[in-house]
Parts: sequence; C-alpha cells; structure tokens
Amino acid sequence: MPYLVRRLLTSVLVILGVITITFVVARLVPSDPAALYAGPRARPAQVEQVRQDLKLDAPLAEQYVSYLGELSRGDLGISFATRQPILDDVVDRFPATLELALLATLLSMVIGIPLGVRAAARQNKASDTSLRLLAVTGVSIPVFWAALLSQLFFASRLGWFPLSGRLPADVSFNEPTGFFVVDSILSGSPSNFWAVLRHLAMPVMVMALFPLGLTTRLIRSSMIDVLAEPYIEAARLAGVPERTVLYRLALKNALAPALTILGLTFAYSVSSAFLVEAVFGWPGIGSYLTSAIQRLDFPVITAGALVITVVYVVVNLLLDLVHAKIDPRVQLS
Amino acid sequence: MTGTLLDVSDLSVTFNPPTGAVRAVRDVDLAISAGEVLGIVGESGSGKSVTVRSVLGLTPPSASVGGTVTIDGTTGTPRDMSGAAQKMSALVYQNPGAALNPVVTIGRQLRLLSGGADDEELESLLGRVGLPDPKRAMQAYPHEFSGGMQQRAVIAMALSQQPKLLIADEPTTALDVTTEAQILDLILGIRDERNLAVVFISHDLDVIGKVADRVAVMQQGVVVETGTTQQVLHVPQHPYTQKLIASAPSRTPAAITHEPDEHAILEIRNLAVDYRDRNRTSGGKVRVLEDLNLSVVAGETLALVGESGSGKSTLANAIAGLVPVANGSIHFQSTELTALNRKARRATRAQLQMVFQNPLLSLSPRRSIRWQLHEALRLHTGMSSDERNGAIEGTFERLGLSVDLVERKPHELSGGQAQRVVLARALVLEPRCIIFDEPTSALDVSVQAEVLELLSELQAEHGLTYLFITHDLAVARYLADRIAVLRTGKIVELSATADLFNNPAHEYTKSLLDASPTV
Repeated sequence: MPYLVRRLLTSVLVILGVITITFVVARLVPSDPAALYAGPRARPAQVEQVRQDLKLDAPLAEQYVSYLGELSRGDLGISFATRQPILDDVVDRFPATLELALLATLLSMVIGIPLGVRAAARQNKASDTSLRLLAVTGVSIPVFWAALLSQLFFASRLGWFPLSGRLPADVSFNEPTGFFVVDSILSGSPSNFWAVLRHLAMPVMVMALFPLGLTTRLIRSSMIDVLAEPYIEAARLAGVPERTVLYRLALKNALAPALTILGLTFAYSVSSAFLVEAVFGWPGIGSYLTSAIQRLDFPVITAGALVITVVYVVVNLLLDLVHAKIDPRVQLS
Repeated sequence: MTGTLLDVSDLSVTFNPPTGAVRAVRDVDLAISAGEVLGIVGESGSGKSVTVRSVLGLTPPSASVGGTVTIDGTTGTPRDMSGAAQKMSALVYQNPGAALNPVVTIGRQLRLLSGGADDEELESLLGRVGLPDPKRAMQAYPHEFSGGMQQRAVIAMALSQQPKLLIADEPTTALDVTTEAQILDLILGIRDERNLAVVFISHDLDVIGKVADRVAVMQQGVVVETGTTQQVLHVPQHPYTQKLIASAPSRTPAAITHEPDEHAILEIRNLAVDYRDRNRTSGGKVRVLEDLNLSVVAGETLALVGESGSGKSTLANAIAGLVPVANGSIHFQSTELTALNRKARRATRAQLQMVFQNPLLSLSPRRSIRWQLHEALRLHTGMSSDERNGAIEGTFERLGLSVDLVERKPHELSGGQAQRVVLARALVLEPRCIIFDEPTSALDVSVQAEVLELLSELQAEHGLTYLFITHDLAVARYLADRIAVLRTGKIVELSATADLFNNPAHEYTKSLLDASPTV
C-alpha cells in the first residue's frame, strides 16, 4: 500500500525531528550530567573519568550521531540514575500507563458518546443543560485535584478502593503481557482479577474525566449539525424509528469529525499520566519520567519524549485509517 | 370537492424570533387531488416552502401555525393533522447531495426509509427512476453519483414510501438544463403511473409551465393568484404575476447594441488545464480543458454556456490565475498573463476583475462593506482615504445602492444587494474586463432581471468587456453578443447570439436548446 508507506516515511521524519530537538534541548540545560552521574561526593577526577566513559566530552554532533546509531539498534541508552538499560525500564513500565490510558479512553467513549447523542436529541431541554454542565465540569477540573478528592472520599472515607498502587503487596502473578487485566484473567484466579480492578478504578475514572467531558461536547455539537441535515429530516418523515435515526443514520456522520480529536485525547492521556501516576503511586511511564526529569537523567528524558511521540504518531495513523473506514468519501491517497 | 386529497384553508404561519414576530404565511388556501400537479411559484422568501413544511409539521415548535387541514375527510389544525400529512407524503429536496446520507449506502438508506421493502422491489424501483445499474446502485455511496443520479435516487427513496403525495421543493434548481428536463419527465411519468398528487415548488416560471396543471403564485406569504397553468402564465391577472412573467429573461428581447472594438482584449491560445485526480487509474491528473482557443473583443459580451462539469468555471479560474495552467497562453491587453510572476500578475488584476456566483462567499462575513471596498482600493491604487471614500460613494450611486449600506456586514444585505456590492468592489477599480461566473443564478428572477439590466447599462457607459459564464441560455441570450458552447473542456460552437439560437450548428448545441424549458 503506497499510502501506508508514505505515511510511515513521514512518521519517521517526525520522530527524527523530535529526537533531534529533545537531544539538543537536553544538552542545553545548564547542568553537568557527568557530575550528576558521578554523584554528589565524587572528586573532580572521578567526574572527569565519568565524562570520558560516557563520551560526554565528545563534540555534540558526534554524540548525536552515535545516539542515533544506538537508537537504530533498539538501544535507548543507559539511565544515569538506575544504571539500567532504559529499554528494559520502558518495557517494564509502559504497559501500566497504556492500560490506564486505554481503559480511561474506552470508558469516556462508552459513556460520552451516548450522553452526547442524548444531549443533541434533546437540545436545550433540561437534560441537555445538565449534561453540558457535567461536561464542562469534567473538562475543567484539574486532574490532580480530582485524584486527591477521590482518594479522600472513596479510599479514606468510604474505603471502597485502595488508596494507591497497582496491586496489593501480597498479590502477585505472572505478567506475560504487562496488562494486569489480561494477566490476572490468565492467572485463573477471580480474586486476582478483582484486586486489579479495584486498583484500576480510581485512576481510570480520574483520567477519564477530561476525555469524557470532551467526548460528550464534541459528539453533541457534531450530532446537532447532522440532525439538521435534510437526509435526517427525510428519514424522520419516512417514519424511521428515532433510535435508528440517531444511532444508525446520524451517529456515523457525527463520529467522523469528532474522531480525530477523540483519538488525540488518548495520546494526550498517555502524556498526561504524570500527575495521575504521581498521586496514585502508579508504576507507569509517567512517574518514571517525573523522577528522571528531577534528576536530569538525560537519556531517560530523551527516550520518554521518543516514546510519547511514537504513541502520537501511531494513534494519528490509526485514526486516519479508521476515518477512511467510517466515511467512504475519504480516500487514502 | 370530490377526489381532493389534501385541502388546506386559512393557513397562517408566524415565526416568533426574539427580534419580533414575523408572519411568513397568511390566509393560504390550497387543494390538491390525486393525479394533479400543483405548482407553487414565487421568489425566495415568499413562503412557498414554509407553507408546505408547516402542513408536514416541520416548522419549529416556537412558530404559531393556524388554519385547518383536511385529509381523507378528517379536518383538524395543521399540527394535529401533520402526522397524517407525513404518512401520505414524501419529499424531494432541492439539493440531492444533502438529501442522501453520505456514509450509508443507497441500498441501506432505501431499506430503512421504505420500512422493510425487499431488495428486488427496491432494485426495480431504482431501475424505474432511470439508474442504469440498480444492483450496483444499491451498493453505492451517494458521492459516487452525479447530481442527476443523486436526484433519481432521492426520488426512488421518496417513492419507496408509497406516498400519495409527492412534494418536490425546487427539485431541479441545482441541476443543469439537460438533467433538469430528464428529471421533470421522470416526475411526470411517475405521476401518470401511480396517479400521484405532486406539489411542485419552484421560483422558475418556465419549469412550472412545463410540469404544473394548476399554479399558485405566492408573494410575501400570500397566494396572490391561482388558476390553471394556461390562465396564470398567459393571462396573468395579478400585477405581481405579470411582473414575474415580464422579468423572466427569456421573454425580454435583446436590447443592447454597441460596437465592439476590432482588437481582442483577451486572447487564449491552446489552453490546457489539469486537475489532480484522487483516483490513481488516470495517472493522478484529469485534463479539464484541452487545446482551447478563444478571443474576446474589447467591449463585447461573450457568454460561455455548457452543462455543469463542462469546464466553464475552470476556464474563468485559469484566466483569473486561480488555477495553474498546464499548457498554452493567455494574453490580456497584449500581456502574456501566464508568463508573469506573482507580483506582476497582481498588477493586472485591477484591470481584470471577477464576480462569482455566491456573493456571500465572495465577501468576508466579519468585515463591514466599507472595509472590504477600502481594502480592494488599498491593494490596487495609491488613493488617500478620502479619495477612496469618494470612489466608493460614486460607484454605489451608479449601481443604485444606498451609501448607508457601507456600514453593514454582508449578512445584513439581501442577495441582490450583496451581489451589487460585489459588483461595486470590482467596478471601483475601473477594470477593463470582468469575468462573471454564474452571477445571477443564486438570485430571484425579478432581482436577476434588474442585475442583468444594470450590467448592460454599465457596459454601455464604460465600454467594459464581459466574459459571462452561465448555464442559463435565456440569460446568455439576453446579455451576450456572442456565445461559446463548451463541452467536456472544448468549445464545440462559437457564433453570434442570434445565429446560435436560429441555426445551431453542433448537435450538442441543439440538444442544449431543446432541453432548455422555453428558449
């Protein structure tokens, strides 16, 4: 498929651009990574030794070229802080974030799309107005605040959900996929599955708030446009049941324009996981990057930017493919 | 009355926007029987559509609707009867592209709207409305059809509901003349087969004359005249009907005589224009214009006619420099436009202006008229602010526009006013040549007549050259000295207006003339 090939090539260019920018910016920060790596008590000679070992004394262009070479072999470098290969850390933590973001996006669509359709069908009636209020609230509440409040109320006061973490300390099972929902089912124990769900509940709900509000509003406004179209009037005049009109004739038209933004909110959730993961002690990529930034762990920062970029690029590509599937007028060429 | 299917009496509709009540329809009495075509004619805003839509219960809930509707011996208020009215009728819309769901196949739409007819039935219906391959049409999406085919599909969808009354609201306005004639034939044929009652709404008297048995003429929400088509069109009683008939361009004799200069002001040689095609089979390019030669003499009006898709607008856009030229040359006042760089090209634009079909799309919705006219002058002249104001006021006066209008924004103008403002923006630059792309087809007939008259006056006053693109042969006949007929990117015939109408040489010209309702 030549379209796919072309899209993949431009994606590579985008990723290369982001690598270059983060690489350069990370090196421009007025701080000495060699000193950081060597630790606070290291003597100048030791720092110099580290500098040479890590090749930080080489010209920037040379460092850049060797970095690209390592990347092309799938080597993301070594973390200054943990001395671990970054790739291992990322592979370890990324599924935790992805699971959170996927479930949050799914939840926001499963609830938000019907709510949006309903609001549009009852435009300016009481239920529409209250839904709109709800949506605006969802979009405007700061995510860390919602996270703290939910901990206070659902975990401390009511005790429905655990305060933080991904699993209780005494529960463990094999993790072939890294997605605990899947892994706990594979472990065959309902109590494992239940524990996973209880831990997921609060972070997923908090993370879904923003995309939920956005989905409701977007679907509402594009449904209102579609419902004013003559082909909808014609269907109603012909006596097609209202449910069929809304969900089988109108929604598909309304979904296409909303889709792009909805997909981007998924990518956004991945990069916005920082705060949610920090509050809920979630061992994902967000908390990993937060600590890397605090320690000026350059290889990790660059690798994190790279991972998030790849998520955006992949999601965008998938969206275009789905869009073409929904709307027959879109041609991929 | 025996056999009356639908009887509407004393219908009135009042809209209640926050700005104050508007009476859109008053005291309308209409009746229609099976097998009859009732034409409703009037300008836009005369209440034609509102009348029909209020009977179907399609007016907004905030509108007050009064009067009585009788269907099958049951009489009630329009709102009470709207369910019964909806049940027995089906609508055919002006824009078939909007009446079809773009993301659902024709077959699926038919199945849903017909309430579960089987595919065989639906396919035979698609065949009946003249779609060449019904089996394939069932699988097709609307955008794969031409406008004419879309309208056939819309008619099939309407018929699939087994209506007794077909309501066609300007069903051919968006179509070219040849297709229009075919669709009108189709509607009449179906009427005969099914003994359908048809309400046919149009602003076009010629079309109404062709299809309607009886005509109701509406003006400002009131039916001013009803009668058989013969009576109304040939012995109109009401002054408004008389004015409507008089302003239909085809009935006005060509009145302008002026002597064109000998030399060509615009010379087009071997012009070719390509469009990018999304379909790769054609190698990514479609040739829209091919080896086209045309010269326009200073002071004349040359009309370009042809069906939609023939390349008329592409030619205009190529001359204006809005689309790239693949081959050939365009000389304007002996300057080769195609060889100029952007800056030099811009200097020629004041002399060669263009007026498009939709005035509201040609004006910025956010800026006052004054600002937009000033901007045109700022770009092309070195005038001071006072000089610019003077020039604008002078032009407005010449066009019969009140100077107060300059403070308004485009949406505060009527269609006719807006098109005149666009014309003013072109004229204020004192061009030598103006290209018009269907400038009057969005306007009502009486406004159209005024604008056309104004154009010929201006031409006589200023020795302007017009290149006038239209699909309406009557308009071309009224305005043009010469007519060029364009078909699939080539000029098939070019001759003086009278010659073309009296002795069309090319087969295609003949078929165009035959298809055109009255010319």
